[in-house]
Amino acid sequence: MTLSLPLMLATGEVVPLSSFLTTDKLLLVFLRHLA
Amino acid sequence: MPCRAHLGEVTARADDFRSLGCGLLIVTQARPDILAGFLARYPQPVPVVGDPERVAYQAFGLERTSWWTFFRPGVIWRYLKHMFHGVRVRKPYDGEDVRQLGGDFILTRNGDVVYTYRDPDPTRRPTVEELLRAAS
Repeated sequence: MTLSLPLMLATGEVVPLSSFLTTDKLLLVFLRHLA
Repeated sequence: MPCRAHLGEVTARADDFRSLGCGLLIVTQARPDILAGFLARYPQPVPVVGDPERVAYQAFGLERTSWWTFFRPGVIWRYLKHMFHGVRVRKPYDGEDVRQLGGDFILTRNGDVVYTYRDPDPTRRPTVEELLRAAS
């Protein structure tokens, strides 16, 4: 389920989390806010 | 504010993470239009995505804190420390939930979570050294 989580690019395109897993590991950093 | 500091610290070491075979992905609450504006002003060396419905935040167990958290002495002190170091206080972008907490996770290629850090309050994040150790 985790790998299919939908994420939005700045263009508005929705892509699954799995599309960013192009390396052995992936550090996911969740920010509270951009400010 | 601590989030922007954490973003800067982590992205500054992006090459160190890459040398360990670890990519980076920044997840925000921002809508695409907000994210596009932010990235135009502050280009990032790693992918930054939006999760305005906070689906991924919930999937990774990241909670909303209470308003009282912001009045804890330790939290106020850490905010002041960031300000003393020159980090500016900025108004949240439209749609951002300031009570939403962040976190850091390391996934393997097959989706296993091998490192978990859920922020206990708005001012605490793991150090980059801790993240590099976890990624190695």
